[in-house]
Amino acid sequence: MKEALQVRVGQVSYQFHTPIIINEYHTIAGPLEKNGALTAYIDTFIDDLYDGEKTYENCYKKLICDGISPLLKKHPDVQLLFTGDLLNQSTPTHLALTNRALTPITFDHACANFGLSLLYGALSIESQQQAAVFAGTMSHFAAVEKQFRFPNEYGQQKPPSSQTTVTGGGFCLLSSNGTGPHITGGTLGAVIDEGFSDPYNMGEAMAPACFHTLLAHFKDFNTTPKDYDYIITGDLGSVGQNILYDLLREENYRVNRNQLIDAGCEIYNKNQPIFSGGSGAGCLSLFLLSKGLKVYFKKPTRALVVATGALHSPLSLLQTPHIPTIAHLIVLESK
Amino acid sequence: MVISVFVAFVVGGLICTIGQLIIDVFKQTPAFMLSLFVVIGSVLDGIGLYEPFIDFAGAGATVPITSFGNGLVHGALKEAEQSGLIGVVIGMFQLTSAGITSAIVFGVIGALLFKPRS
Repeated sequence: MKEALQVRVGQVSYQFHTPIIINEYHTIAGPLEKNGALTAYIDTFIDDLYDGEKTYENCYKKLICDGISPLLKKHPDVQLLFTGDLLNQSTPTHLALTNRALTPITFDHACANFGLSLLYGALSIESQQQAAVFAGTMSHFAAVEKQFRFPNEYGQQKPPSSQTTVTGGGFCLLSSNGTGPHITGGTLGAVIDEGFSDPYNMGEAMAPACFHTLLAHFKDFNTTPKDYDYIITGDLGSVGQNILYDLLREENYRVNRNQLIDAGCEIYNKNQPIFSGGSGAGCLSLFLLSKGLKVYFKKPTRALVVATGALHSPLSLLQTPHIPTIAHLIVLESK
Repeated sequence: MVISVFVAFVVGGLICTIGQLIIDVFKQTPAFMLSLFVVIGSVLDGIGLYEPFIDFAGAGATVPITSFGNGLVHGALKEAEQSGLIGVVIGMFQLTSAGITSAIVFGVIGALLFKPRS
């Protein structure tokens, strides 16, 4: 009898033996992103933050609907969508999927949702529970500002360390055949609390979680940053990216500055009013499924994709002034 | 005239700078800063310092939100002198009524002209 291949690696990592391929994808983004740096790579845009809807929340719902529809039309037999958004109880996702034969598996890991979605999508294919699944995330600037900070109309001042929630995101089809980059492994993160409490400096709070997950990955797979072409982070912003760089150097990991790519720093142009970078559940999915796959993974590449998330709520922050954070990692390879 | 304008500008500007520092350096919310200034204004008037401050800085003392706290206490104390304890509640909004009423009126106009919710 053939021995079953080991999927679990080390403490918190997984190695996949069936090919898990990001086959097809669709990205959608808002007006600010349209004037940004990824315009040529994103599939569709909305012209304003309402897009014909009465409220921002309804527009969020519509974005998810429009993002998943092209994939769903081509693959109506896919049953699961691994996702998660940034409003209470993931209402935009659940409203968007009303009366559709698709079951949403929604996670509550904020901006880390995309990493966890890809990892769990991959696990469900690896374990042969599913032949193909959808994974993806979306965010909407104004709806998320309202949930996490203040409504735009309030005119709250923001310090330079704050980040701007990306309007947009992307969905992809994971399956075991087809062409595209392969998800070959992954590492699950744990909740990290380093005592940071400033919701206008999420990069500072999330960088340690990213660092912990990377360390766990290097240990479990016995690798170093040298073994990867890029370390693509979700939404650390320029502040968090610099902290991650310093943390890795302090641990004697020789990383090249060009090796670190942060989705939040890549989406916009330098002159756009976004403070230290983009953030949000859709930040990483928008970048990875547009320029990421169309440029970086067009040539043979082996990269780590780390989605980082802050797990506080406005209420929790008032009661316990701490921002717990988490990061999930996948290994993405193209040949 | 030029000197009093200059003094008003500098004093009002200083109060606003303190407010900005409370937000940026002490990491407080704008609501906290506003409430704090109202309290400071009312305490200063309670110990009789806000009137001389207005004499000195003019608009520099009356435009910032501290003057709202001053108005609350000043109206209450003035009415209390005439009507006794009940005057405290009658007088509280006497001096500030112009500000409160215009906030309501302009709020209504703003809501009619623009989208009041998103």
